[in-house]
Amino acid sequence: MAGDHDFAEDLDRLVEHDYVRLVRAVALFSGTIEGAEDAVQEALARAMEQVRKGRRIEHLGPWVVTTAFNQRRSHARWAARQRERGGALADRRPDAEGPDADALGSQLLDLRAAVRSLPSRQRQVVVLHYYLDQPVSSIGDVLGIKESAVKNALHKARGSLLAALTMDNTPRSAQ
Amino acid sequence: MSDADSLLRERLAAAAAFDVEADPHRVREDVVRRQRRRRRRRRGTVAVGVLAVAALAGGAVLLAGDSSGKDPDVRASTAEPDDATSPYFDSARGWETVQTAAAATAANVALGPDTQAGNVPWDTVTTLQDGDVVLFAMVSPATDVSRANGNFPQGELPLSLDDAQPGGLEGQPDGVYAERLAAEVDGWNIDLLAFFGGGVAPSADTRAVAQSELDRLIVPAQAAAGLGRTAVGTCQPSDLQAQVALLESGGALAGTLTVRNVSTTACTLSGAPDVQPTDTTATPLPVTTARTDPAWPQTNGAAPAGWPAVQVAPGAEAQAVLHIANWCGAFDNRIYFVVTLPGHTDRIGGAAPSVQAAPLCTAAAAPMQVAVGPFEPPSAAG
Repeated sequence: MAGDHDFAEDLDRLVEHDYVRLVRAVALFSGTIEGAEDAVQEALARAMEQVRKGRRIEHLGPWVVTTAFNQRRSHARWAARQRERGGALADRRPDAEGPDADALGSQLLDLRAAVRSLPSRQRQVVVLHYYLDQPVSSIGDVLGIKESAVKNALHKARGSLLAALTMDNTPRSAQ
Repeated sequence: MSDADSLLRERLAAAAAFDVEADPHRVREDVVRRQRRRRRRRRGTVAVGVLAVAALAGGAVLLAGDSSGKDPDVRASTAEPDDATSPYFDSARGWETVQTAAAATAANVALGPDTQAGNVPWDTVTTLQDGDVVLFAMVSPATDVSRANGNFPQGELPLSLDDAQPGGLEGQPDGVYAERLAAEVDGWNIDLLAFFGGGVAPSADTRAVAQSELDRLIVPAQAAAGLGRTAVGTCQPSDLQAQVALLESGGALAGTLTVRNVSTTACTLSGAPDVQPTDTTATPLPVTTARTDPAWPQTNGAAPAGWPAVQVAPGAEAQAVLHIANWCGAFDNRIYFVVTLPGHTDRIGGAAPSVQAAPLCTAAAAPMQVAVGPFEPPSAAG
């Protein structure tokens, strides 16, 4: 079992080398940088708590990202309910595409939108596999699903994203 | 790796190029702080984000003869209180209940320490799994003002969850599904929240379980309630709870600060409250504060009766215009507001109200700008 000391080293390494990628992965999943850093930090705090309780976290980075994904998904559901109610203020910050949206080409914004439009499971596996370079077996472990389910979700997501890229390549590139 | 896979990796890497500030030292500090906060929250020694409805109202009841800060009148039990003067849940087998002068809670899971202390049951709600239920009823005596507002339609026992609407309270934990129901029963305004675990609408079985406990809500006749003070005095911080409702407007956040009289007697407010925004660690944010005009000149054209004094009946509300602009510092997903009354140093009770938003950064070198209007009746500011 990994002790507190080992975990502290893992955490240091992750914060030093992988933090930005993890935050960006969560932003890619949720379609906005808003709340991504908060979710990753909260997930890291949860990881510390779990390890202190004696739990071994095999794939720390993917575990953190997946926990942050879940947090963002819960938040999105909560915000949607708030909007439906039309009552208390939900997340009304502008800047849904992130502060650097203007600097990006329309293709990339469309790809962000295409990722965001994927079902949640497909979004998770796409980001974990294609962005964080996680092997299918690790993704299955972290998400608690079979490798075949990971492959199936990847296959479907890949088709959707490639279709979006193909559409991008024709009219918009000429503009 | 296929060309298509390479293309996807390349494009996703580009699409993910969100601007992220990465100072490892700061991140480590933030994570450790969050972890400590989580542990403290678990131990129940702090109640970040918790609305201390019951504790406050208990304090209000005690105000007449005691301002020493003793624990409010909180009963956590599975036994029927024999001296109940406010609504409470009779506990069925497998249910735990707690009640104060202003709130009653019942859950089919173990109550958390904060809940047992009479606070809003967030520490219990966060533990809910599929099939688990927390019922939380905020109660206050009905008044002519609350009847005129029409927020609590006449109802009778047993209340029915069929009349509840999806809803919740600000500050509600993520991943919890809630429904809300308001009714006036036997002279009591009852604002009921049913929290269900599992994150989605409950199954019919779970709903039936919740309804069976809701059937056990006991509402003593209002005449039996010990309404202590009768003179209309100046509102004290512990008489009130505050809420903030702000909408984005041209990059700023504009709306109202609402204070509700949770005591059992009418009291009077005047002047403008002091509003200090803080981050999620209760650290005050740098601000410049200004006074702004009330809303009534734009809506009514004539000053409300008695203004600038505003009399607030028990359960009724007063409001103040609130406007915040320009925040260029860190934003941890929520801004809290510490509210104090003119001439007081103690903040208005309950959890600090908050919004899950921040104004846009318009002047990097400047602090946040806060503008607060004087108290006025809600019909004017709302």
